[in-house]
Amino acid sequence: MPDRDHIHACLRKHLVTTYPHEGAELLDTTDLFQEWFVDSMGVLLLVTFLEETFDVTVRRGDIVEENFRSIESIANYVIRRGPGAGCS
Amino acid sequence: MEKDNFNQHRVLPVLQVFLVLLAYCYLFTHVSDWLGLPAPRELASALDWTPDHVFDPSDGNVDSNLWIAKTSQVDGRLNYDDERLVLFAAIFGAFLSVYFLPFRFKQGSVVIWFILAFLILYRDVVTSAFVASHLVVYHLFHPRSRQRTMASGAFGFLASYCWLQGSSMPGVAMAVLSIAGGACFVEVDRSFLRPFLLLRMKVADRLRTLVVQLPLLVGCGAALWEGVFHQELKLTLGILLIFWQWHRLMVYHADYVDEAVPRDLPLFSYFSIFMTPAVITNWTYSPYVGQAHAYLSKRFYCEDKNETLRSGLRLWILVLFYLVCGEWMIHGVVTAARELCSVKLYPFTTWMINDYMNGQPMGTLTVLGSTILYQARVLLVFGAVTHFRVGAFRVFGYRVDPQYDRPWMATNLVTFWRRFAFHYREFVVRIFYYPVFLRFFKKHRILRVFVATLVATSVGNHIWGHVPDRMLSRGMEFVNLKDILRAWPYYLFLGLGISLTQIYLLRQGRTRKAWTPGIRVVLDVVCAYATLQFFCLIHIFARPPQGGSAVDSLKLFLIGFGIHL
Repeated sequence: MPDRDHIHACLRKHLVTTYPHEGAELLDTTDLFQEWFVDSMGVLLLVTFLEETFDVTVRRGDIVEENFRSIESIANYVIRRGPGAGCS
Repeated sequence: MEKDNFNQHRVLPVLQVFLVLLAYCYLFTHVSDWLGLPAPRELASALDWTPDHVFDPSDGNVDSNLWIAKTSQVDGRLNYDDERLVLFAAIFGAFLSVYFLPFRFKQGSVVIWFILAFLILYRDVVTSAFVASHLVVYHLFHPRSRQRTMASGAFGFLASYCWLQGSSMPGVAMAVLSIAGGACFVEVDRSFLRPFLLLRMKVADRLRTLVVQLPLLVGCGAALWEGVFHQELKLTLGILLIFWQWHRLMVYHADYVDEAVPRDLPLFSYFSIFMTPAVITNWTYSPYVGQAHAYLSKRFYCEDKNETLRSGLRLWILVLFYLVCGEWMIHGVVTAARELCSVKLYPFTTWMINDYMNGQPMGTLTVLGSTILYQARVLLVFGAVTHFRVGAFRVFGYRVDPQYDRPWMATNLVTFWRRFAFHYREFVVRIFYYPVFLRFFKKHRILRVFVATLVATSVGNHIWGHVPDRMLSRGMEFVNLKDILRAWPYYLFLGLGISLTQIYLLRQGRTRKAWTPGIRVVLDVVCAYATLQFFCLIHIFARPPQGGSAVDSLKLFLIGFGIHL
C-alpha cells in the first residue's frame, strides 16, 4: 500500500500535467470540479490513472463526487479500495 | 445539526419569492383582468413599447412558452392562463411549506402540493393512475420498505378506483370497492409479491430493469404494431406521464444498482424525486432536470436555504426576460438580417429544409445564420423552461445545477455539451458512458475513452435519449419511429465530434484554461464560434427532409461550408 504523501504527490503531478491551470495553486483540498475544471467525463480519465497507477478496481458506484472532489478525497478512496504500486 | 444551520427563517426572501411569482401571475395569467389592472400589453403601450410576437392578441397577456402539457386530453380543462395560475399557486404553497415546516416534513409537503395541483390540472383519474404507476415502481424497488403496507393499500385503492371508472355505479359503492381493493392488495403483497421479490432476487433485478425500459419497449413495440396492423395504441394519460419520466427512472435505477438509494427509502422520499411542482410545467421539455435520488439528496439543504433560494430567484428573473423578449428578439434578428444585410434567415431549421427541398436557392450565410438562430431560439425557449424548473427546485431548497450554463463560452465540443445540456449529459454519462468505460478495452486507454464516448453520445443519445421522446410526444406510429431513426447522421456526427475532441484533449493535454486573459483569447473566440457553428449545423441532420434523403441533408450541410453540389 503506497503511503498517503506518495499518493498525493502522484495525483498532483497527474492533475497539473493533464489540466494545467496557469497561476493557480493545486492544494490537497482544492475542489477539482469547481476550481480545476475536472468534469464527470474528466473523472473517468482520473479513474484510468488510478487503475493504471495504483492498481485499484473502480466500480461504477464509486464514481461519485465525494470520492473525486479533491486530491485528499481521492487519496482516501485509493487507500480504502486497496493495494497499489504507485507512480515513479 | 448542520441542516438546522441551513434552515434559518427570514422574512425578506419569502417576500421576494411572493413578488416574483406575483410578476409571473400578472404577465402570464388573468390576474390583471380580475384585479382591474391594465393588461401587460396596455402597460407596454403606455411605456411606448409595442413589439410583435410578445402579447396574446386575445387578452393582452404575455404569450408564454410556459404551459402545462397534455391537459387537452382532460374533460373540462382550464385555459392556459388559468393552468399557469394553478402552477404558480402550487409553487408558492410548496415553497411556504418547505420553508417553514420542520425538516422531516419538508420533502413530503412538496409532494402534497404537487398532487393537489395535479388533481386540479389533470383530474382524479389521471392523478390516480400516475400515483399508482409510481407505487408499482416503488413496490418493485423497495420490498424491504417499512411503509410497504401503506404503499400496497394506496396502490390497491387507486388502481381499483381507476378500474371502476367505466362503470355506472354510485360514488359510495365505488369508494367501498376501492377500499376493498386496497385491502386485497395489501394481502396479495404480504403473501405473494413481497416474498417473491425477496426470495427471487435475480428475477426482481430483471423486473426492475424491465420496468425502467418499458417506455422505450412499449413505444417501439406499439409503433411496429401500428406499422404492421395499422392499429394505433394509445396510453392512458397517467401512464403516459410516468413514461415521460423515463430518463429519471433510468437514473434512479442506476442509483439503485450503485447502492446509492437506501433499500428502505420512505415512500414520500421516493415520491419527492418525481413529484414536485417544479416538474409540472412543460412536461415534455427536458424532463430529466433534477436527475434522481443520489443527485437530489446531496443537494437538499446542502447550504443556507436563503442562499439557494436567492440563486433560484435570479434564474426566475432571467426567465422573465427570456419569456417576454425571446420570440421578439429572434424575429428581430430575422428582420434585421433581411433589411440590413439582405440575408434571409429562418427561425426554424425545418422551414429552411422545406424551402431547400422545394428548390429555393440557399446561400451559405442563410444556412450558417439560420442554424445558429434556431439554436438561439432553443436556448431562449428551453432555457426559459429549464431555468424556471431549476429555479423552482432552488426555491424549494435543492441546489440544482442549471441545464444551460453560458454554452457560448465553450471552446470545444466536450465542454459545449456539458454547458448546453448539463442534466441530459449526466443522464447519458451515468447510463451509458460509465458502464461501457468500466467494462471494455481496459488495457487500451485511448480506445477505451473513444468507444465509451461514442457509444454514449451516439447510440445511447439516439435510442434511449430520443426515441421514447418522439414516440410519447407525437404518437406511437411507425412513421414517427422511422422519422426519428432517420436522424442517425446527426447523432453520429455529434458522437464522432465529441469523441474525437475527447481523444484530442487526452493526447494533446491542455496548456491553459480557456478565457484566461492574454493574446490567446482570440483563439478562444475562434474555437467558441467553430464549436457553436458545428453543433448548430449538424442539426440539419436532426430534421430529415420529407420526401428527401440523408444525401439532401448532406448537400444542405455542405452549403454551410460554401460547397454547392
